[in-house]
Amino acid sequence: MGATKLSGMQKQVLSLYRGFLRAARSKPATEDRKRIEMIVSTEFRKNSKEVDRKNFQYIEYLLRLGHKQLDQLKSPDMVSISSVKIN
Amino acid sequence: MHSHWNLRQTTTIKNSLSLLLHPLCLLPSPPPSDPSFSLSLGLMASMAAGSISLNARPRQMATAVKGFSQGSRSNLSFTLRPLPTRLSVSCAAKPETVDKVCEVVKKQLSLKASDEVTAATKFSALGADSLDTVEIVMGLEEAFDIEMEEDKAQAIETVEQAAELIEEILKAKA
Repeated sequence: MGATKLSGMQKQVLSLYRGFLRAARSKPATEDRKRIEMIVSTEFRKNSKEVDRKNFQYIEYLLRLGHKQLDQLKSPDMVSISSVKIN
Repeated sequence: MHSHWNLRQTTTIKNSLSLLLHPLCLLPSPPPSDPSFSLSLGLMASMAAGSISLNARPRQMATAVKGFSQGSRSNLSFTLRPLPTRLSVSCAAKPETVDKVCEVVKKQLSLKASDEVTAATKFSALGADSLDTVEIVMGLEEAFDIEMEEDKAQAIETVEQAAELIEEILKAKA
């Protein structure tokens, strides 16, 4: 952040992140909420380190994927999420 | 330089004249930002005699206008300068708000209580990246029970800016 100006894509990512946090906030149970926030923030941070910042195609793919997952998470039927580690 | 002298002269007179502007508006008035108008005001003031009409010195006015338009300076207008307003706004955040913001920031970034967070502190100086900043903003929204617009929230870089935005929103809400 700092004085550097964010690119459009960075703003999209941040906006998606904000959307996830808002969706997490709408979940009734605190522990679910905490878990969602944890998983989401881990995922974002992991990708922010691993994905090459010039790899626009992949980032765009991740953005689309994220939006789809966010839509699913937003539905009130969806109570929580979990992540599975596959080695 | 002739035109330069004119410019300075007019601006100083303009400053001292700004309060007198209202009664003078009774004159047949061109738009206030018109350089020739402000110049003629200056001339009238320096003459100190009320009998000089606006049209008495067309030639001088004309040369003055020429000089100004070449310099393309805009500081002859009578509009308020934006700078003082901005300063007064940036001092507006109440200390309680700033304190609360500092608290949320510390909690969100899991800083130690001994770490110093003041109004001027930049989030980036605390080791926060842009994702952290989003988290801070979300935490602030929750703490103050408000919703921040995304564009504005993204522009926040310091504790003080956050506090100002919050107060603005709270004021609009009340």
